[in-house]
Amino acid sequence: MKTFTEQELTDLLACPKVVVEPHRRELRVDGKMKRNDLTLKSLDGKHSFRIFLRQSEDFHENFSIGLVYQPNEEPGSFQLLRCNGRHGGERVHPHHAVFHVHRCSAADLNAGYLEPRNIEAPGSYASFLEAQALFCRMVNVTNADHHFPGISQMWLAFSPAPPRPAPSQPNPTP
Amino acid sequence: MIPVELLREQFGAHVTLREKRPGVTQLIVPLFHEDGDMMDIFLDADPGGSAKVRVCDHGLTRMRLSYTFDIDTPNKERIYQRILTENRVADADGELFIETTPDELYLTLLQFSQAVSKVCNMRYFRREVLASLFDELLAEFIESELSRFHPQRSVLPIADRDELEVDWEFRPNGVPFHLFAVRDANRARLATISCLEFQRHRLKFKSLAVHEDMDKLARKDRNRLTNACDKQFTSLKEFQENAVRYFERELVH
Repeated sequence: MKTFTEQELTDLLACPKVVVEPHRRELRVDGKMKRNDLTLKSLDGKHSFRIFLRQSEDFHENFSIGLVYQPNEEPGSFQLLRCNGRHGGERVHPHHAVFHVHRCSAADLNAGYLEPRNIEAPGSYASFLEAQALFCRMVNVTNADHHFPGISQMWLAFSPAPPRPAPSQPNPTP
Repeated sequence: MIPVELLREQFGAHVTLREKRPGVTQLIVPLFHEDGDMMDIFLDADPGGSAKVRVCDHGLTRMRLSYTFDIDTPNKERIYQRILTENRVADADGELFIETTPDELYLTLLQFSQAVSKVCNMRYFRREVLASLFDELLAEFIESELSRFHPQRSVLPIADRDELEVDWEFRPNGVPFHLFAVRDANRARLATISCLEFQRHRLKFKSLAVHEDMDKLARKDRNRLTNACDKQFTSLKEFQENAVRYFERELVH
C-alpha cells in the first residue's frame, strides 16, 4: 500500500488542476441538498481528482466543498481538503458553529484513517460562494473562471489603507 | 458519588440545545463522525401543536454520505432501506427521522444516532474497498479448494520481464495455466499484454482470467482480453462454482 509524506499531500493540493469533465453550471437539487461534482486532472496528467459541492436546502449555512484524490492504488481515494459551513459543533469547537476546514494528514493516512480529521477554523470565508472561491484557489483549479463564472471577482483584495497619524501628532498643513 | 450518579451528571452536562430556526432545535451532544464533525441531530416541534417531537437530520446524513458514496443502485438502496427498517428510522425525501414523545426522547436519540452512524458507514461499500477484498477472496478459494492443482502465486513466466507477472499458476497436467485476477481496466490491460507477450515468446501455456465483474469493463478492454485469453470466468462466483470441474477436465488432457 502506498504511503504518503506531508510534502506529497501539500504538492497534490497545490499542483495546478483542470476540470476535465463537463458538469452542470448550477447545483442540482437532490432530496434535501443541492449538489454538483466535477472531475479534474493535474496539468501534468499524472493525478486524478474529484471536487464535490454540497449545500443543504434547509440550512444554507450548512455546506461542504471538498477535493478527493483518486490514486490508482491502495489506499484508494480520500479527501485531501474540505471546506465546511457552520453546521454545528466539531471536536475543535464543540460548542460553536464556525466555518472550518478539514485536512487529511500523512500520519493519519498511513495509519489507515482516510477521513480528514484535522480541523482548522479558516476565518477566510463566510458563505458558500466565498468558500467556493477560496477553495478553488487553495486547490489551484486553473480554469475555475470557466466553470464558476464570476469566481475571480471574489478574489479582489482592497489595497491596504495608509496608517492613520497618531492623535498627538499635529495635522499636516495643506 | 456512586458511578451511576456520576454517569447521569456527565450525560446531562454534555447536552445543550440551540435554536437553528423557529421550531427547529439543534442538539449539541458529543456524538462525532470519524472526521471530527458532530452528528447533525435536530428536534422539530410538531407544527400541529401536539407534544410529539420529530428527531431528524434535515437530510444532512445523506449529504455527508454523498461526499464519497451515492445510493444509486438497487443493491445499495436495498441495504440502505434495511438499515433504516432495522433501526426503525424513516426517510422523507432524504431526511432521516423518528417521531417520538417527550418521555421517550432519550432512547429515541440513542437509536437515531446509531442509525446515522450506520448510514454513514455505507461508504465502506465503496467499490475500491470491496475491490481489495476480491484478491483476498480469490486467494482464499484457490488455497482451500484448488490446492491439488498445485497453485503458485506471483509467477514470472519470462524471468527477466518482472512487469509481466501472473497472479496464479496451476499445473494440472504439466502445462502451466496462468490465471489473471481482473478487477479493473488496468488489470485487464495488463493481462492482455502479458498473454500476447507470452504468445510472442512461444511459451507453452494456457491463460485464464477471473473477473471481479466482467460487465464493469469497458467494451474495448473486454474485447481485447477476450481475443488474447484462452478462458474467462465472468465473476468470482462463477469461478468458485466451476473451477474444480474445469481443472479436472484439464487433468485428463
